[in-house]
Amino acid sequence: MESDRPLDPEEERPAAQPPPAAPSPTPRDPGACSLLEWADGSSSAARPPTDARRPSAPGLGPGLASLLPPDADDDEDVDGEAESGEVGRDTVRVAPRAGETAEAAGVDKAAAAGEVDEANEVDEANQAGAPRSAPRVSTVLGPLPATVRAGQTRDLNDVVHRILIIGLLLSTVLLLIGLLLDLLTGQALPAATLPPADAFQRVLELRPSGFLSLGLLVLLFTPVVRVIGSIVVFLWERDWLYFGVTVFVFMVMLLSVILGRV
Amino acid sequence: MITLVLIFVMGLCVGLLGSMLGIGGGVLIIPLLTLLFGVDIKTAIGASIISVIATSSAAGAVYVGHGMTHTRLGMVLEIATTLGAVAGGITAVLLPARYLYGIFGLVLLYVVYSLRGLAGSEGGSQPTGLLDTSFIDPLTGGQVNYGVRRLKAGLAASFVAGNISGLLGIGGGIIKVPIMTLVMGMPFKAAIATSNFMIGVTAATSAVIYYGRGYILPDVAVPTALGVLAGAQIGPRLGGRARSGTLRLIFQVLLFAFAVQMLWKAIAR
Repeated sequence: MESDRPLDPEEERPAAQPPPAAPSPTPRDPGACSLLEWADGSSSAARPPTDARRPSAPGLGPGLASLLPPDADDDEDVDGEAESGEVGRDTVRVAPRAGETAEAAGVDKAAAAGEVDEANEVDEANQAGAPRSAPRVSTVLGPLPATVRAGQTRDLNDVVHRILIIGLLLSTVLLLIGLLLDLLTGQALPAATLPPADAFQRVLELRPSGFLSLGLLVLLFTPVVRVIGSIVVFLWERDWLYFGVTVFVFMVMLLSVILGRV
Repeated sequence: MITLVLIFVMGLCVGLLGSMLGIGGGVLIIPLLTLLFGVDIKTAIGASIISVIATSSAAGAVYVGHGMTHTRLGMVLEIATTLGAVAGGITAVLLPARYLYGIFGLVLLYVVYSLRGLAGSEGGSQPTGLLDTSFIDPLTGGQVNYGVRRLKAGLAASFVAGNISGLLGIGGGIIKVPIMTLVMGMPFKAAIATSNFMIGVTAATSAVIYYGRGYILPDVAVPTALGVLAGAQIGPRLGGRARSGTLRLIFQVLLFAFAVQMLWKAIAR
């Protein structure tokens, strides 16, 4: 990975980032916005103030903003953001940029200290003219803890974040298509799910039962893909401890897939 | 067709109430489906686990985007929750329904009890040298540094939570969050986010068992999940989160009634 690495950073990216397999949800799509907004509010007793603190950007969930590609000039979108939200979100958003530049320069990422990466990152963001008040690393991260280097965690969070959103949107769309097809043809909903192969087959035949089963399967396997994504990130970062942890979790999930069949 | 719409409306109400109270929908979905719609309890568990995955993925994406989730701690604890979920899922598939009613009734009683006041129980969180990390509190804009204590106790609690989740098709946050705040010394918000992060993987682990064994029925699970998703989207827009004691009290009474009915189903017959 050190010497024979291709110089083109584009070729390297898929390993560190989630493959943009599904057409990544368009950031300004209103449907995506609302989907995120409710997520914002669900299952949390602890976060009532977030809504109130985003008065002039009502449509844009903070999670959504970090979906934007790192190069996108989304300054306008964040104008109404509260200061703190901006800081946190910006750090998430610029994370991939640091990886890119480090790799393009042929820097070995494993050798580069997280803090150095961080500093580059902020500089890059400034040069690109992105956030006006690009936060200094020290103010955002404070004393970097020995066990968890913040740069790593942010790459990881970015991957997890994208996988969850893509999986959720894809499954919702599939379920809605299945439901609509079912209602249009005047059938009752199927009372049994299909094995994955059959579900695929019936989707190709545009049969509602296929869409419903596939939608449920995509929903069900989104967390599995999330674990696979984490494994790839830890492998990339040569974090063997957490590589082992996530591989173990993945094995347990595989075990339950097998147990479900028996 | 009418049942379909009614189940969707039921999911909508659960999503509304759940998002306003900050609680997962499972504890409501299963009693409603079994008692109101006469659905078999294992099918109800299958529908609930699907809804739990959906809400967890959606909320998880937002929490992780905020950097509030302690992803590494979550992954460590997932070892325990997934093991618990496999055990719970297999047990649930094999166990006669009346035992599931009984266990669910008891868990509901615990939930009623634990709803007295979760948010006020935050202790002083500080770095401990074990899995130290930090996040930006959206409320104050300040940075919160903290570490983790008593990881073994956390692992044990996670196993129990995963087991209950796999067995009964609920998220299990109601067990994890108090342990993470009170025993492991995590800030409340980080505990909520991290617990939610684990719930998706935990629920998926047992859900594949339910799927493979044919307990996830599209005609029940799909309208439930879509209803909960829609309800949770509307909930926060209806005049903010109603955290006043009244709503919580109504919720507690409702759950208590469900608990009694579920226990009755376990004993009678």
